[in-house]
Amino acid sequence: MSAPRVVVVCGAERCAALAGVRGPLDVVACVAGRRPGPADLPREASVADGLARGVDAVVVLTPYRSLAADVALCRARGVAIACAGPVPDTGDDVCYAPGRWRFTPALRRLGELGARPAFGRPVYLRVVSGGAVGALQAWWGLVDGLDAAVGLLGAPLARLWIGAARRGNRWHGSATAMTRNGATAQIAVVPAPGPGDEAILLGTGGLVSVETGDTGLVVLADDGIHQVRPSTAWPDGGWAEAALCAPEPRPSPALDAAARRSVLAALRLAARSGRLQPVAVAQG
Amino acid sequence: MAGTPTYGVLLLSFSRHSHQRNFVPLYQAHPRTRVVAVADDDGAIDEDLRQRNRRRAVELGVPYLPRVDEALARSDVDIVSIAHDIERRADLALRAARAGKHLWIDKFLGATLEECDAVVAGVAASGVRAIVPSYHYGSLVRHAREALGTAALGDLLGLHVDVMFSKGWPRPIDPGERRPFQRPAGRWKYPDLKRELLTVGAYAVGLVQACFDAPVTSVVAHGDAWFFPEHARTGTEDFATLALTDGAGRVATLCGGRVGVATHPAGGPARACLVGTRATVTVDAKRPAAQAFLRDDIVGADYTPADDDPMQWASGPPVLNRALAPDPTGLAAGLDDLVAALDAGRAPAYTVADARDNMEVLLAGYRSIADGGRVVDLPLPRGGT
Repeated sequence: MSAPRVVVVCGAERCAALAGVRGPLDVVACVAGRRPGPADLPREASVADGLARGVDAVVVLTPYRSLAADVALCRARGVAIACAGPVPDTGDDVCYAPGRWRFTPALRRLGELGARPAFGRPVYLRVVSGGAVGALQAWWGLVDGLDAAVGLLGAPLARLWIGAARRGNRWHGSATAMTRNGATAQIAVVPAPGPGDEAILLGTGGLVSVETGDTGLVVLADDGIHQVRPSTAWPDGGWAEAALCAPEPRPSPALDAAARRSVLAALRLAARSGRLQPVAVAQG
Repeated sequence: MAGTPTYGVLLLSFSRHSHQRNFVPLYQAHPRTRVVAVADDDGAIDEDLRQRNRRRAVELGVPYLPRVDEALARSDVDIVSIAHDIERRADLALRAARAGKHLWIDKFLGATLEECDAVVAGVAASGVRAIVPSYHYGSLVRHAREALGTAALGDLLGLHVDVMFSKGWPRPIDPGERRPFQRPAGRWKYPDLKRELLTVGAYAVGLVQACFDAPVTSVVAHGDAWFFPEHARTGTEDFATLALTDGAGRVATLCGGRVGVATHPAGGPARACLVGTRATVTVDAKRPAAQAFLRDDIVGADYTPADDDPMQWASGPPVLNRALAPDPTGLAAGLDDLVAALDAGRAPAYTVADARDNMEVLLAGYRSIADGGRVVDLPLPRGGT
């Protein structure tokens, strides 16, 4: 079976992830932000323009205000659409394919190590990830981080608080969550590009961690020391392939649709009020 | 250094829960300080501490004075190094300040917020200088302040800190022996444990203080016993997390705890992410470091804590990474600052008011834990803390 022909939507902060998506999928064009994507990849101004190329699917790596309208357009045209986060301002989350964190090498490795008997019971998770240029990106980062918390701590969420700070369009979001087994997660989404691979997972048997500075690729240059992030650090290729090609069912998200929307509302309120905002999570 | 005075240091006790043993080599090595005596109120302490105080005095070759007020009356005492149990520190600090002695106080001013307030007021009224050296001078804060000093970070939006001590020997906790969480209520001393949000979390709060220029306004915390039956049996925490906001709308999260030996190559992580509008900076207090993989050391390592120090308050496990910084805890820098402050007649960089504010954040955290994770606003009301 040939790879699906897709149009990818991504913001400037995630353009570096495009290379990874082009491996498993036939990316025919991108709807990108300010930063140019790969030189050999045609750019379109909108999803509607991209659909004119006769693609099989649209892959959305970055949220934007009119995403709900594009979801409706794809549905009307009979074109599949996979979003790495929930759709703002609508309850229509069918196109949301949760679990991008599962394809982040750092978090995947932490999950493998945390599953070993020597790890014991999970106690604490810290994740710092990039990509929160705006409120919607911060929202997606937090939702993905909370999915990671449930996956890595091994229990549903019991309590959740959201914090946020912003200066202009630079957003920083944090989530403090307690899971039903009593463990705690602290998720931070920062206004910097990057897949996010600073993580600590603490169990009663010990500590497993991945550090931002541990890219294995260090450049000593006239203007300083630079860490180069390998393209394999981005989870988007694996996630998009799974979202479009893997047999159902998709992994269950940590939050239901109402709670996901509440996280966005709490994020905005926290930034306005300067206070931590509680979010009600479903008690199953 | 002819012509410059040396300052006589009185050591107020060697409580097992304190760091006096770590301070002594600093006083001995510093060209401007000298240890002149060890003192305590013999009638107010147990026999074990009485004997320990006397042993230390003999080891140091200085007199042991069994009444604090008589020790404070000595003219050769300029600085009082207070490292008693938390429950006794405020009284000793106030007596020393009234006697006109400058203060070096180990970590916490007192057992309650009211006691801390009293020390702050007493120090201000007496005009002495007082330093709490543990939180402001170490590698974590030094690295972070360097990052804050660069334009690359932009405006600071948030801070996220993880500090853990890889110490103690964890053991399974029988659910039947677990007691509900107990608020501190002015009691911190247990014979076999420390409350670790206070003990370890204070370092992370110290970093928040160094980075945020507005006071903390709200706190949410969680804590529990995960690693040690001693904590489970007493309803105390060996690990805790805290989220907070400050008056400028910034956010911070932190964790602190004692998580057991052999869980980290440098004795426990001490890391922070400073989130700015232009960049995010990762700070690691344990880096740069020399990594030592010496076969005999590794295969022959004994991680078992000593019988007389099971939580490793006075000792540490073998480590593979050793920080390159000559003074990673910053205690030597703290003593330099105190001496410079005394010479110049100024306050040191981290004062008793800062230490009081640090503890207020932690007390708000305890209140939040006890109330099931409620958001607790600061400043805390006085009375009943």
